[in-house]
Amino acid sequence: MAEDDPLMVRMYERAFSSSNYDLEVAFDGEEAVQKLEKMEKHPVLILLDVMMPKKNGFDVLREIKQNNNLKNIPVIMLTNLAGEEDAEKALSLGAVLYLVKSQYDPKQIVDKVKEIILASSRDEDVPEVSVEVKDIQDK
Amino acid sequence: MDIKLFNKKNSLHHQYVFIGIVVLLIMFTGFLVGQVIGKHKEIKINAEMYRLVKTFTNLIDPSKYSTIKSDLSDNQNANYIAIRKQLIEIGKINNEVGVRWIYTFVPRDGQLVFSVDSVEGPDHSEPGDIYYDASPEFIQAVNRVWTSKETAFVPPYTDRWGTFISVMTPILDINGDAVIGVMAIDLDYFYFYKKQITEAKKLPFVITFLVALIFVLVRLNKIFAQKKDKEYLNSVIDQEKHAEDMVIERTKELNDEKSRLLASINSLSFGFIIIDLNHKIIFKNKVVSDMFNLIENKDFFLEDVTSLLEKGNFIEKQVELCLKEKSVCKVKDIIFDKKVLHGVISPITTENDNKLIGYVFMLEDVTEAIAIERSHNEFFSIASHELRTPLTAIRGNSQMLKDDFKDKIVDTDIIEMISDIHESSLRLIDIVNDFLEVSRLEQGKVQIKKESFEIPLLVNKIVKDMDDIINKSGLSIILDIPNNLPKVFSDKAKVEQILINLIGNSLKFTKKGNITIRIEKTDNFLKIIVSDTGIGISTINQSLLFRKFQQAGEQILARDFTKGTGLGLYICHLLISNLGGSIGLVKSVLGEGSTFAFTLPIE
Repeated sequence: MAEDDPLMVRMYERAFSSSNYDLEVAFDGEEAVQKLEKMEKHPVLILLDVMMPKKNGFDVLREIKQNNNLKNIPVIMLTNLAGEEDAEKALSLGAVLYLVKSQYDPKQIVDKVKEIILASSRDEDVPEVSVEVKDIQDK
Repeated sequence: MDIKLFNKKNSLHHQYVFIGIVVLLIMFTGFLVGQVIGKHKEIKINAEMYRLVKTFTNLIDPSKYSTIKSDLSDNQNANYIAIRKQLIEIGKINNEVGVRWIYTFVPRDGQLVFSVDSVEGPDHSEPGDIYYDASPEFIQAVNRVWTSKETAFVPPYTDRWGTFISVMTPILDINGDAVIGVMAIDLDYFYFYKKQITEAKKLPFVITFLVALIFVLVRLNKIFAQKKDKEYLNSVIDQEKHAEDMVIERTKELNDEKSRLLASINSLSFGFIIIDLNHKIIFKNKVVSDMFNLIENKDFFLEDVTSLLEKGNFIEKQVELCLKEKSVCKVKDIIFDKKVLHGVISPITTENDNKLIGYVFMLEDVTEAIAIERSHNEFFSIASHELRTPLTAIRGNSQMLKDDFKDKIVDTDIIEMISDIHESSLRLIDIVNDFLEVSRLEQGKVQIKKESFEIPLLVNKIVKDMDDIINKSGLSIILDIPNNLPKVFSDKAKVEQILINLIGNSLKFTKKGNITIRIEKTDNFLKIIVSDTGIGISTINQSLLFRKFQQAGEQILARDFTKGTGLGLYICHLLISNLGGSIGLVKSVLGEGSTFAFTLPIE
């Protein structure tokens, strides 16, 4: 997970660890790229924030997709930028999902991640892209 | 002009004097010619008298005449009788040429004694009668004839028979040596002699009079024509002067009016340009000159202005379109020198026949307003993003507290507090989302991706997605959807958002009963109708429904129990406007329910 906000990092770490996932965190874009390149065992999925110091999420995504070793790892953009054009840009660069953090509980994010990992392990197409759909259940 | 007239008046007097002089000259000439002709006539008559008297004398036989004694005994003398008869005949013949009397006489003892008198009647003088009242000139003439044997002329004289002139000649004896008598002929002075001369003088007088008359008439005619011309000219000048005064007065009024109008237009805060149909700028106010750094007092055309603009400002095409429609229209924002200008074109038409004569182009510099709006929107965007992150943490952590620490947290108050925190975070996130969406819609930043799709399928999907919440509400959903509906061409996600909003509203405001979703086909649209059996909306609030921050509460301060932002229907309204449809409240009755509907264009 590339995420600069410690609040977010702590929350998602708890959520993923309680679901028995190991979460490796980078706190800026550059660190994310460096860590990915150095990791001996590649992650099964990458969660990318957009607004980050040093290098933004789109640039990181672009580098991942240009790297032959990393390009097959599914990437979910996890951000609070809710613009449609941002979502479109992410998907066109190769992200499988564009999720607006505030719209989901951490557990829901974990569920989405599970779905993607499952689908990619079965070599299936990833579920339809989700972009900022209002969750009226919570109103 | 006045000076000229004065001169003309003067020249008119001169002309009268000129005519007078010329007439006098003509008449004087006539008089002179008359005098000459009269004299000529006089000479002619005299010469004729000389000739006649000599002729008459030659007719008399001197041998016979010598027998006449010039006394009463002659009445028995046959020669006397014959000569008298002869003279009477001659007199009759020559009466026409003015000869009044023919007679002969002799001087005797200092007196004149008649010998033969051709006169008949009471005026007849017998032989031997004495011509006692002969004038001295007559007597002198007789003496001259008697002594010198020459013919003599007697100027006018008066005796008992009247006024005459006479010519006399001697009667010589048979040898021609001695004077034996004097023959005289009288011409009536007044009734013939003078009359003849006067008549002779008349002709030149009449001719000169006529000439003078013609001259006077011609000159007067000319003068009257001039006078008439002058009067006409004066009246024209008067009229011109009046017209000139009127023009000056009206011009002043117009100038005053123009000044006021100009001052008003120049005091406008926006650019104001009047352009004719050839796109020539007839008038521009100061704002325009400042806006485009134009030079004053120079002719400009629309293209002069547009040539200053950056590429992509296709004003001309928009102007043509606007003029064709003859209606006021906005042009696309104009970018000039880092300025953003709002432009409005307003065609100018004549009042009577609505004929297009030009157009007004109004320009407003909105650079600052846009900058403020942009910073406002950017603030909104950043604020929304920055708000979401902590809200996400509150939402996520409170949710995990509730789920993951159920066993550890047993105090119901704490559990309730955590739930409240979680719910509050959700509500806040909704508010932020709505704010951001409204901001994006108002900025026109929302992209519309149209596609062809079937509305019934979408409705079914939404109802299925909302299954949980519908079940929880205890309401039933009724779908009234006919078969074989045409597809719509629209943005599926946006339509879904609108439908979710409307159904969501119905769920929020309905305690019991049902929610009906009906679809109808009109000419070019599909109409999607969502009705419920909820609380309904009062008439007062119905008009406020699609405005910002409005909810169907009775009062602004008295909020409803649904805890929404009041932006939902406003967002729907903005979305449907972008989709080329319309949305509205069909009907609503308090306590009975509400019916909303929106339309979408058919494929």
